[in-house]
Amino acid sequence: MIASVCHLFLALVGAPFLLSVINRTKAWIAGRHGQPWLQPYHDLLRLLRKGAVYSRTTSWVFRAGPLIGLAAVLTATTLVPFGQARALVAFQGDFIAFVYLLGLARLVTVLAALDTGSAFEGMGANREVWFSALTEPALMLSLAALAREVGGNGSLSLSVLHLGMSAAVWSRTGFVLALVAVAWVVVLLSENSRIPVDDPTTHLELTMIHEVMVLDHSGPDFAFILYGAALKLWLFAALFVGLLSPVKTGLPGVDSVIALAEVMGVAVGVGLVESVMARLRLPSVPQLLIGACAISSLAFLIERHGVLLP
Amino acid sequence: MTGLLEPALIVVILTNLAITASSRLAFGIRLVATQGVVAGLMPLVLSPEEVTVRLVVIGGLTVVLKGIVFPRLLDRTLRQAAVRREEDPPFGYKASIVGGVVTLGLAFWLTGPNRMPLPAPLASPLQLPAAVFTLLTGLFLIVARNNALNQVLGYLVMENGIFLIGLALALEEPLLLEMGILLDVFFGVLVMGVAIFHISRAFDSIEVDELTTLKD
Amino acid sequence: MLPLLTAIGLLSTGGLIALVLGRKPRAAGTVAATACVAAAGVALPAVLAALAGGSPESLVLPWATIPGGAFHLVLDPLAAFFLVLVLVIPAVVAVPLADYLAATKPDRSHGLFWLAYTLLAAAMMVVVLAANVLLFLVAWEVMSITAYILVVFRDDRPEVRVAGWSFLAATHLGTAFLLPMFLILARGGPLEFDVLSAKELPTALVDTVFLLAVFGFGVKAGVIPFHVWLPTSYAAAPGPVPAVLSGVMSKLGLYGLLRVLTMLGPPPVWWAWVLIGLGLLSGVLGILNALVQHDLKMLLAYSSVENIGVILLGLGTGLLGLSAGPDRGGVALEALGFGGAMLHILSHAICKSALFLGAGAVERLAGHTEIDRLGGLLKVAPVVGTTFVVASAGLCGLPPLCGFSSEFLIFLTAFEEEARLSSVAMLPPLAVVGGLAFVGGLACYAFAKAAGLTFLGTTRGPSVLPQRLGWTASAIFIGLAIGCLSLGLAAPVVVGQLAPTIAVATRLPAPVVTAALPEVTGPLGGVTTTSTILLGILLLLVVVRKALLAGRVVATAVTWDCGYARPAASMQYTGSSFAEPAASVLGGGAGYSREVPSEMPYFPSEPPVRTDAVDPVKAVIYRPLFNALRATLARGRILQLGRVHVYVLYITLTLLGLVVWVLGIKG
Repeated sequence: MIASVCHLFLALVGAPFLLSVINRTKAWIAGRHGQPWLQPYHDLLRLLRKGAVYSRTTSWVFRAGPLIGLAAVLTATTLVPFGQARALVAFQGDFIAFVYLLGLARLVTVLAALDTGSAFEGMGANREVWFSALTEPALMLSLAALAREVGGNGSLSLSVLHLGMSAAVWSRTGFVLALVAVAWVVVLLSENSRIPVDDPTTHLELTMIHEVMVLDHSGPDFAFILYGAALKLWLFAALFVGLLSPVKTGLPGVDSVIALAEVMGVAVGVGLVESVMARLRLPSVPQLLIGACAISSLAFLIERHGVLLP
Repeated sequence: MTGLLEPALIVVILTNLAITASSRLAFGIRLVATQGVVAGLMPLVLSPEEVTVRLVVIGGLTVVLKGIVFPRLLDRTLRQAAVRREEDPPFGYKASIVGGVVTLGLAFWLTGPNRMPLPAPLASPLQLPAAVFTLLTGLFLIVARNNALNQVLGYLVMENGIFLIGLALALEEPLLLEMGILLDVFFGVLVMGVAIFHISRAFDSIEVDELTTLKD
Repeated sequence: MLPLLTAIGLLSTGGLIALVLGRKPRAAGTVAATACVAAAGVALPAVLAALAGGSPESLVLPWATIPGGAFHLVLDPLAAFFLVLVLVIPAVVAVPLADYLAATKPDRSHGLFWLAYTLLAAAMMVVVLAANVLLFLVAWEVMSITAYILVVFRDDRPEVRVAGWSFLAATHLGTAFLLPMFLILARGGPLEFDVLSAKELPTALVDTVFLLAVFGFGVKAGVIPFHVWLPTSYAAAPGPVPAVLSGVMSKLGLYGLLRVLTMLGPPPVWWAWVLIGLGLLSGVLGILNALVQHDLKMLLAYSSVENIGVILLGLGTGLLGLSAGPDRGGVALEALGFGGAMLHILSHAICKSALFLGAGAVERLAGHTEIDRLGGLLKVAPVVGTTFVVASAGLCGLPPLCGFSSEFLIFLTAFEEEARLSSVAMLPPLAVVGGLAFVGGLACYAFAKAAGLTFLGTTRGPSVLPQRLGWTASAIFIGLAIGCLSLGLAAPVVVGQLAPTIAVATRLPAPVVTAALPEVTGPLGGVTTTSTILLGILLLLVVVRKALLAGRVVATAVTWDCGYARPAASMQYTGSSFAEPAASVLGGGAGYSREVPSEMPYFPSEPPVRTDAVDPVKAVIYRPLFNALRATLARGRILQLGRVHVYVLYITLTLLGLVVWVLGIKG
């Protein structure tokens, strides 16, 4: 229990740090020095100290959007296990709640964007909602594959699946897990608005998806949104390493440190991807996402108790 | 009065033939009226011993309706529609006479011995053939004539035929039923007369041939 | 049973009084609404008591004039569950409906409308309670006809008349399937539900009965491909009337299916596959079609089709669970699936009623329901708008609202099955997982369009004047929104109460179901915990922000929009543009077509781009079928000369022929 609470604090405090890891990685590849390590924290504090400006076109939906979004992501944090400890809240099927809490965050952001009556924000809302409709099946199917592989006797809780993963499982079903990992990478990049789906550093509104939805938020609201995005990235990274990484020693403290290192590793990976690749053309993004769905389904069809192999 | 039966039946048969042959509408109305009166008096002719009140009432009503009221109604309709005769029926007049005779033969064949089961023996062997012939003539008039008034006449002839068939098969109809049938016919003719008037006003013609837009 | 009969009596009397008061719309509406509420008040206690289980109450009165018929009513937990919907929803919808009719003032007598409304409620009660085939079919027919009267109330418009025709044709086509089904089950014996069964019937006949039930009841429920009457009828019905049609009447199709399933023996696996297949088809095609609609009510109608698909998925996965065997937790799986389906019936009824009430209010405020000309209605009608947004989130299946709890159960059933079953048998639950996730995502898309473009932003058409909503109507809207949230939080308790209903529907003994229930209520309890945490954190954040902004400058300005200082309403996304990315890829499944002129003028005053959505099932299956039928039958037209005496000739010849044949040839 204590371990779970500690991990919760680690997530809350460490999430913005992931953003600086990504930015420093990109800067290093580009030959620059990069921003200070604690820059995201400075940005958040600065925003929290400001007042706010609200558009006259908006209603309570706009004011509620950032709050509900952050509340949803924070609630999702209580569901994610870390290291050797289980999550604060764990029950059969909690990953469904995880996915749909993030869906709630997305819907309120979209509605807040539509509330401003602006063309740019409508455009972002439009694309966000379409891409997420394609990402959700990929996420669910990959979780289903994991449930089948790892949770042998019908247990469907993130905490149990997380503990069930080990090197032994990898040696048994390596190929399947590799496919699931590929699908997860695509889902992670898509849900967190990273290249190749969305470019977080673009200045052109017509090419934005996530940033353009939150154009009109200011002050504390904007701080909540930025923080929520960072936390969401942390959660996806933590789940990724927790559910798929075979490196587990069984000792609580050591496993937490290893998990932390792996999460930072994921951030570095994201930074590398962003440095190396360019963003896909928008009409090609659905192809990528449907491909992720297909890979997750394929993971089913070729696993040992599956359809194709006897 | 039994001796009057056969002549009465022959009158009925002759009126049928005459109606199919005639092209003048006023004459047709007279013929149908005669036929109606004769048919209405037929029960009295058939059973002269038991002249019940019922028979007298029915006979009297029939005579009044078919002999006076209907011809009056139809004459008025005829005047309002301002038509004298039907010029060009689908089945020509000369051919109609031949058709009439053929129908008579058919009626005799249908009602031949051992063919139609009868509950009681007939007062005359002509009775059933005449009745069936009247029915078939009525149908023939409806099919083979274009003029709406002719078709009303055909309807009346058909009704006479049904009445005669009922008599021949010695059907005991309750009083209420017979009154009901008469009322039915009365209103039928009334409505048809009004309808013909309106049709003639709307379409300037009572040739049924022209009224084909119903099919769409 | 007496309270229920009293309720039926109250409804009928109310309707007759309303008929007499037809010329005074306010009075007629009030009388009918009072009757509905009174009926609900009188009957609900008895219904809720029956829901808790115990032996079913029954009432048998002989019905002399009809052979085989009897006035046989039975109140068991399954009937009680649906009765809750039948009693509550019409009562809830009646008051806003009365407001709507009084405000839009159609210039015809309202008496017949209100009589039809109350008779619809009464007929639906009898449908659910009936335990005799003929009584059931008569009540079914009365239900269809009264619903028809409600749909064609505004028959001055041609599209309403066409919708009414298709409604009548479809419902009778469906009923035509029901009659042989009942006859096969009865096999010449008495026509009572408790006697009908499929024992000793050959398997082929049992399968036929199942398929007949699926088709016959599927038409009423609105399952693709039998749904073609649904969207146009819901759009044609005035104001909030579709709330009753969608929230209750469609569900009675599901009730019929469940009732017939109880008469058939243990289901073979392929029945579950049929239900899952139809559920996926309805879900995916339903929400795709919803996405591309221009009219708000058509969008909501297609969303109803999608939700019926989700309910079918719950039933299908439940049935599939049974085949996993009792040792592998088959009972728990069936309870999970059926529990999810029933919970979804409840949550859809609440949310869809709220949505259609909102659409009715929109129609009253703006005069139309075209999304492309609406916008900003949240500021004009805050209560309606808020309820609409909350109910939309509910139907998207988002926590902490009710839609999530039900979809959660269905997901869980599918996940458990695909984790346990092996080889090919795992594919249907897998399809359910992927399909339900996809449908959920698209539902968020469609409802972001419906709620976002109608109520948020600024108006794309002429500006709409605010109208005051009456106290009762406001209370009803707020009540529905709260109900949506409460059902989500209280889901474990509610599902626990539904154990007897699930027992009746699955023909398992009640103690067995109750023993398996913790597997259902346990995870739901976890969901409730999560939802409570969510609400708690939200409250905390509200306080935090208030504290942060206290004493600081909080200003209002025009939308910043990245520095563009002159936003105009016409720059906002319209319905068609919002749906365009998905429609251009998946539009085939929705009959989507886009007209772009080959030469685009430089400054078009009229929008040159048109999008259109034709129901694909109608275009691909029904229209060609009916056209072929018409072409074949048109050949018989030559016989139809239009001349009366020719027809008499046909009759005479036939008669003569028969007479000659009987007398002459048979001798």
